[in-house]
Amino acid sequence: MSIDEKLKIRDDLLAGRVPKRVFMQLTFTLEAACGLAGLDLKRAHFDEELRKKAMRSICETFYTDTYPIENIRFPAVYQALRAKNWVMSSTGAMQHPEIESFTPDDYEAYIKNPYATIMESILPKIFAGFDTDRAHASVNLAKAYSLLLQTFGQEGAFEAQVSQEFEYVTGFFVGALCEAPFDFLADQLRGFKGITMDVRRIPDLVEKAAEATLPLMLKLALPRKVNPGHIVFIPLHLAPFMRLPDFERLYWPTFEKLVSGISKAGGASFLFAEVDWTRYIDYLAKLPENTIIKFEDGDAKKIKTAIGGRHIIGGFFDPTITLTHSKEECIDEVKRLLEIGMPGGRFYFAFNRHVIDINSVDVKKLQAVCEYVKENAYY
Amino acid sequence: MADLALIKSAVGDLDEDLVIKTLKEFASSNPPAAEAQQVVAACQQGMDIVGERFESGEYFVGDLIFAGELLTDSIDILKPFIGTGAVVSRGAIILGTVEGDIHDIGKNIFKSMGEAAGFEVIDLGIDQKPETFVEAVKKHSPKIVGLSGVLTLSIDSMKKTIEALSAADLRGSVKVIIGGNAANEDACTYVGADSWSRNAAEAVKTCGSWVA
Repeated sequence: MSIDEKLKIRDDLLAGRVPKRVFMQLTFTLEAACGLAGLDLKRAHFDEELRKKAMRSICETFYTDTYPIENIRFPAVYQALRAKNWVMSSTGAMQHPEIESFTPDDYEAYIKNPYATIMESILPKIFAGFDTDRAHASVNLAKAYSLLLQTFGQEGAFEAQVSQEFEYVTGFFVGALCEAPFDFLADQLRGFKGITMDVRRIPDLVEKAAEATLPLMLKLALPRKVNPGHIVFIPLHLAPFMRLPDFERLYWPTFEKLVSGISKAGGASFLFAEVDWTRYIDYLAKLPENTIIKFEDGDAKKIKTAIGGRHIIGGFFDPTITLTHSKEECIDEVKRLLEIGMPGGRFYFAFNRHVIDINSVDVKKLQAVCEYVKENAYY
Repeated sequence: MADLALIKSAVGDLDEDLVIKTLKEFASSNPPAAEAQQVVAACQQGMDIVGERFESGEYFVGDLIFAGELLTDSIDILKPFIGTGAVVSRGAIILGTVEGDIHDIGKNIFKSMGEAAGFEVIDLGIDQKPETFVEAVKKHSPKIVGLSGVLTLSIDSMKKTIEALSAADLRGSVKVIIGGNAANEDACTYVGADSWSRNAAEAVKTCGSWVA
């Protein structure tokens, strides 16, 4: 299939039209790429040539319509900042630990001026490199920014090169990234445990803090001039762990305003519904038409029935089943998902989460899954 | 003597103000150890209610985290009066997040609920190598090993950990349960565990059935 045909499929999908074939957006992390190529992950983080070799091995092994590597957490950058919110595990994987950069006493100041509170109080707690005098903090910022530009430049050049070589559709969801206001409070400021306590103890302050966060998230999501096709990626985190009344009061209102605000400005949202959002499906149905939603878990049939005519959905396929099921059973699962998802369009094929460890999948069976979709998921 | 039924239901309802107020009033009376232990048992029974409500879909993970904190705060109030050696343990559980994974929220919920259910939970922490689990099993002779992991990479580490227990000839002496977002029936079979759960309350119940 030519790149023009793939682009047409992508455009049809995003416009809510029935495409020629199911669009495929499969993602692997650098960790998985190094595992596949037999390369040392910790070395690869700091060695462009090793990374390219590893990432190329994924491109050569698995078929997909988009560039298949997810690698945006560069340890050199986080180490320059002495970051606490992204750290390396013993095996070299970058992960987000539970952090608390904000106490319940900080709510009042945050609600009054969230940006100033983030700059002056929160960032120095998340990044120890800023918790020093201004001169040294400036140097640390300059070092981190330089490393970020350098590494992004390397990654971008490689992505452009292989995208041409493998005829990948680029820019499927890249545009901006932000969080639902409540998730931002939880993930970056109070931590999962802290926000859970606050929801029960001081919900009024949590509600006001989420409202105060909304303009910041909109600013992250939207450039001054929104170009056609501007898509904002929003990973959704805490809602599945909340009671419905808490969700309705503290999560949904600002999240809905965020997605609507992006839509009104001419953009679209790409949501990753982490864990199981089936019980919130009626809420998701209220979001602007053609919101893209990737589901990690959940009842695919129920979700397709409820929102498949309005939104673009994908996900559900767990690549780790290749480790524990026969090739035929894996293909059967793909067939089941295609039968559910394809009618009427607005469906793309994606893993329910990135492959982050090549040992968590059977490479040959996963190859067969990708090939099956590529060859058979035609309308 | 405190109103045990009230404490049990207040813990079950996660009514923090009422639980803490009642326990502080009780503590101010300088109670004997036997009475304090009865109050601890009432708190534990309240946690059973929390577990049941979680299983029925009334409570969610956030409520379990809150319940764990509430129980910790409650035991802190009661600790000076409980005495030593009077509480009978249901056995030890070696618990940890496996190598490569640094997530610990689910592990910590399981720890709180396991301790509330009368287990001695020895928490090895996050990102722990198979050898660390092996050494801990040799040292503490637990009945159960709990392996936690959120990321899919933890499946491989869980497998290696269980293989290390087998290689050290320790697998037969312990039951192994895996938990966290990475756990499911297939993963359980693949890694060679005895059970799995994504639900801390259910996992504690499974552990209870193993030592009954």
